[in-house]
This record gives sequence, structure tokens and C-alpha cells, in this order.
Amino acid sequence: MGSGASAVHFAMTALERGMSVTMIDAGRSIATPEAPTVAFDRLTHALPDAPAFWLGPDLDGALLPGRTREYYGFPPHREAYFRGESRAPMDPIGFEPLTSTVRGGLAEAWTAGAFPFDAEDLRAFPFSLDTLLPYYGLVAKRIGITGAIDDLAHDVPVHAHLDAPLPLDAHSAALLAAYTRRRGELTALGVRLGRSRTAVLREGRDGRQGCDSLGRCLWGCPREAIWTPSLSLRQLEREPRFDYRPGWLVTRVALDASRRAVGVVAESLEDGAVRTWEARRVVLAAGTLGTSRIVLSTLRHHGGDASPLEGLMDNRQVLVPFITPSRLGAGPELNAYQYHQLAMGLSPLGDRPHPPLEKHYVHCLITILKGVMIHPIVQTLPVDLRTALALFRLTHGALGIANVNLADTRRPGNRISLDLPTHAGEPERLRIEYRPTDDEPQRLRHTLARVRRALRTLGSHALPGMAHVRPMGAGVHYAGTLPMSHEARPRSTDPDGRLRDVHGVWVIDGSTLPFLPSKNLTFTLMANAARIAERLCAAIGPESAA
Amino acid sequence: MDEATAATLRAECDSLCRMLISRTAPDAIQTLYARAHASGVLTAPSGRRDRALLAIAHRAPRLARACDGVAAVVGRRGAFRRKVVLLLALLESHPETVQHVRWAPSTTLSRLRRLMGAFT
Ligand SMILES: Cc1cc2nc3c(=O)[nH]c(=O)nc-3n(C[C@H](O)[C@H](O)[C@H](O)COP(=O)(O)OP(=O)(O)OC[C@H]3O[C@@H](n4cnc5c(N)ncnc54)[C@H](O)[C@@H]3O)c2cc1C
Ligand code: SF4
Repeated sequence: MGSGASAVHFAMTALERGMSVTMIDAGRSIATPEAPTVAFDRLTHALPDAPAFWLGPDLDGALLPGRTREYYGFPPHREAYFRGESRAPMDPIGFEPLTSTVRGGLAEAWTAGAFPFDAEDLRAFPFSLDTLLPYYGLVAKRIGITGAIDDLAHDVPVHAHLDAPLPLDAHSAALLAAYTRRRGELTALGVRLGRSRTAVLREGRDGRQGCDSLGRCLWGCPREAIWTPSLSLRQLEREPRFDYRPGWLVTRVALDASRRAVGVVAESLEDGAVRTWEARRVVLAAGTLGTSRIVLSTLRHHGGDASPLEGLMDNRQVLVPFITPSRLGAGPELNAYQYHQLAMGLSPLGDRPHPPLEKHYVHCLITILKGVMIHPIVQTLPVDLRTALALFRLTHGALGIANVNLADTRRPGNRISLDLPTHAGEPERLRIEYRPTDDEPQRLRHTLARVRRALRTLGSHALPGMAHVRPMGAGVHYAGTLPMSHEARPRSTDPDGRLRDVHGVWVIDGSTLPFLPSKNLTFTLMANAARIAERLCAAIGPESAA
Repeated sequence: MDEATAATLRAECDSLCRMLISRTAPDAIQTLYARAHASGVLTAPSGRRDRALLAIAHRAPRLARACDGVAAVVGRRGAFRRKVVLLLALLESHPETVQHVRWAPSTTLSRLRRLMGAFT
């Protein structure tokens, strides 16, 4: 169930191995881009109703003070991608969850960072990099991933089918040139810079077009150059042994008396009708929060242990805006690929309890400010908006943001539980609790000092007082509630994603990660889903499949 | 919306628009500004400071920029500042005004580039 990044790669491999797949999905529809051939700088003139496009039909998409401290707001038509389901309510504490029930899931709006985990990242996993590496190559072949074999490869493995990257924007090129000049100094500080790994096409294929620098990535690439799961779903829908069933919200797995899966129970999003979809094997890919809800509800319904699922993780993210003085007056590149083209890694500095250091690799995505909505940015300056606007226009071409990601570990207390409804007929409520470690502020301070120093060495300067520690949950890299392990303990999954508490259920999304490295996780989710599909198909054999 | 409120909003929109981009607000922006108020995206100023800032900006449009400067420091979330930010959002979203928001006059940019050249 689910049609996100994890699900589509499971389904593709299962079909390739001769299985039949029925995909039950909430699958709400997604918008198609307007004026698809027009580049960013002409878009406002080309749209039939530009204010509605940029700000929403009720103009409530404007990011007014107090609403958010994000520098990039979701475009209004994309906010609908994250509308919660009233039938699946959540009560978060210390966590700001984002979920999606659209066709393709969260990655319909992702920024396409596709970084494989390295051996160190996978240390807590019940398999090695050697096992996963071919699947990274397989997924790269399917969706198109660009990157270069450069210094970043020190911590980001090179896999098969890595395509050449898009041309660099001038600001990123200046940073990379500065890195090349001062490489020795930076590597001595444990800092490495290289081309980002991104799921975007340079050349067209599979009905998608290559990137043509329209500069509209944030609003949804009209050329389909940026991979999203719905593109793979479109391919899947052409397969005769694939049956896609959108419009159904799965509430639990149906089990027989021996606790073996016999299907899933789902509610129609259209009229609330409940039906059981029969299946011999159930594969859950509702995203960590959705899958945790389904597992807890299943266990509760069938008299199992429905106490909280511990170990929820997400990457803490800090946005560090910076300015590169040598770029002042250069003007922004509006019609250019908008997301990160460079990534920077900070090696761990070893263990030190007082004051604590960041023990894990730190992953930073360097995004140059191009075509963006201006009002969310200028309002953050402590001056009148006219002055702020003038300053912004003069500095726009010199501005960038480093998105600093920290790893997370499974810790008790960070958990997901299911509260019974207070009134009959209401749905169960998902309680999500998260608390960062006590030493996080010190670790962050130290890490940000390293980032600022690295930026200075590259000829840029972090803007004082503007670093923004995003709330927990904003990273949208949720993981850890049903970890894969060799150890047979309840409420976990085996190394092949098989849920240990019942029979016939596999989990293939972030829930199964036993550790969350700082690198964006989705590429690993896709590779792991393909790996699990292959293992599952091999285990049941072609006869049973038929 | 009654006629008096509509007239007040028109005057307010115009004065803030001059403050932001040195131009009177086109009809389309006036309409959108009024619509945003009618739909509840913006609320009337509630606190004393907010009301005072708005009154000053009304009576003396030349002081609107100073009022916004004050709001940027001590009234970031107040209704006055929200009105100015909303108007900026409308101006950058409309074909008639986007160029006045998005692009710096090319002379300013080239002057800055020359200045930077002198230092590098
Ligand atoms: C703005 C943004 C930028 C991001 N950028 C990156 C990035 O650059 N790199 C990266 O690695 N990751 C990124 N991510 C994270 C990435 O999107 C997620 O890790 C990824 O989408 C997870 O995929 P998934 O298939 O496991 O789950 P999801 O995307 O959550 O998909 C879940 C699927 O299940 C369906 N579903 C959910 N509940 C039910 C139910 N009860 N019944 C039926 N169907 C259900 C949904 O419709 C959906 O199809 C980003 C996320 C966001 C929001
Ligand atoms: S710049 Fe972005 S929106 Fe434009 S074609 Fe390339 S990927 Fe698509």
C-alpha cells in the first residue's frame, strides 16, 4: 500500500520478478503545471491568473509575518499535497509532522537530493553497503541521478548509472572554484565540497524531458526533468500485472486466527465505505507515520502489544543564509535549476563529552537563491520593507542557503502511539512525541561554527542572526519505529523488512531504518525497497507467485 | 464591505504602494488588497501601537516608511506590518507590478558592480 518513493520501486522490482501487484493508495490527485513552456522570469505575465498561482485563489498563500520562519514557502497549490486526512488525526508533541496522501506521496514536492549512505552510515543496519550498492545503481538507472566523482565521494559512495551533472550556476561555480583553490585547508578542517547528487534528467527519456533551465523546480518541473514517484507510477500503470487502486485509506491489516495477513481494511475517501482488499502478502509503504499507525491499529485490533513504537527519528535541519561578496551586483540567475547543486560534508571530529561534539557526519546542501518569492525573505530583515527590498535586489545574486542536516539515533521516549477516540465513531488519534537530546544546543553551536568557518574559507559569510533551526519534523526524513535487525525482538522487522509480530506483512519505508544518517534518506528507501522486493520474490519463488 | 471601508482600504493600499515601489497602486492591486481584507487573510489592527502606526501612515503617507521601520523592529507580527507584507506579495505576483519589485534598476546594479570591481 502507498504510491510513494518506496512503494513504486518495490512494485517495479516485484513486477520484473514476475509477481502481480495491487497498489492500494489514498492517491489524491496532483496538479499539472500551468504554462509548461514558460520560464520563471516570464511566468507572471503568461499565467491567466498569476496572483492565484503564486498566492492561492484566496490569497492565503502569502507568507505573512508570524506564519513561518521558512525562507522558502510551499507554493499554495503544493500545500494541498500535505493536507492531513480528517480520518487520520495526529497529536504531535515537540514535532511538526508533514504527511501526504497524494498520488506519489511526499516526494512529489521533494528537492531531489539522492545521496547513497556509506558503510559508516549503514553500520547499524543488518546488511552492508556491498549489499545495497547494486540497488542504488538500479534505482539510478530507473529514475536518472546526476552527480560527479569528486571529493564528495569520500563520504558519498559512487554507484552505477551516475549521470553527468547539470551545468553549474555561476554562484555555485564560484564556490567550487574557491574550494579547489583552498582544498588543502578545508580538507584539514574535515570539510569536503562537491557536486550534489540529484534525481534530475539532463537528457530526456521515458517520456520525460531533460532540464531546460526553466527555473520552476519549486513549483513542480513542467518538463518532468525532476523525478517524482508519480512518474514511475505512470509507467507502472502500463503493466498488465499491476492494479492501481487510489481513493482508499488503509486503516489496518486484516489477519486470520493464526495472525497471518489476509488483506487490508480500507475506507473509501469518497464515501467512507469500508472494504477489505484481499492479499496473500501485504507490503506497507505509507511513510513512517502512516505505517506506524497501521501497525499499531492492527496490533490493537488483534489483541497484540499496541504500546508505543519507540525510536522515531528525523534529521535536525538548520538553514544558514550566506552572502558571497564577490557576487554582489551580479544579479540573480532566475531561469536556472533552483535546488542545491553543491553539497558539503563535515567529517565527525571524534567523541568528546564536554563540551560534546557532533559524533556523526554532517551533510549540508548548498542552494543558491534564484527565482523565489521575495516577500518571505525581505520581511525577515529588521528594516522597513522598501529598504529591505532594495537591499535584497542588490544582494540577490550573492545570496545562498546552506541547509545543515544532522544525523539522529533511536532513543526511547521519541515515539508514536495510538490514542483511542473519545467519542464512538471517531478515528484513533496518532500521538507523536519527540525530544531532542540535552546536548543538542552545544552540538549545534559547534557544528554551525564549523559551517561558518567553511563558508568563510570559500569566500562567503553566514548572515549574522539569520540561521534558522527548523522545528523537529520539518526535515521530513522520518524513520526508526520498526527497525530492521538480526535480533528477533517484537515490533521490529527482520533484515528483509518482514514484520515480526504477524505473518505475511513487510515494511519497506523509513520505519525500518535502525539509524538515520544526516544524508537525505529517500534514495536509500528506494534502493532498500527494491532489495526487499527481490528478496521476497526469491523467497516465495515463481511458482507461488503465479 | 461598506463604501467607507472600501475607500479607506483604497487610500491605504495606495499610500503603502507608493511607499514600496514609488507608484500608485493599479486598480487590479486595489481590488486584490480589498479582497484579502474581505476574506479574512488580514485582520484589523487590534493593539494601540498598530492602530497608531496605521493612523500615522494614513494621515501622513510620507511617514509610512518610518512606520514600517518601527513595525519591522517592534511590531513584526502586528496587523500594520502584515498589511505591508501582503501588499508586497500582491505586487510581486501581478504582471502589472512584478518588474518594480523583482528587478533593481540596471544602473544601480552596474554601479554596484563597478564599485565591487574597485575592491576586488
Ligand atoms: C519539501 C520536501 C523536500 C524533500 N526533499 C528531499 C530530498 O531532497 N531528498 C530526500 O531524500 N528526501 C526528501 N524529502 C523526503 C521524501 O519526500 C520522503 O523521504 C519520501 O517521500 C518518503 O517516501 P515514502 O514512499 O516512504 O513515503 P511517502 O512519501 O509518505 O508516501 C506514502 C504513500 O502512502 C500513501 N498513504 C499514506 N497513508 C495511507 C493510508 N493510510 N492508506 C493508503 N495510502 C496511504 C500516500 O498516499 C503516499 O502515496 C523531502 C520531503 C519534502 C516534503
Ligand atoms: S530548471 Fe527545474 S523546472 Fe526548469 S526544467 Fe530544469 S528541473 Fe525543470
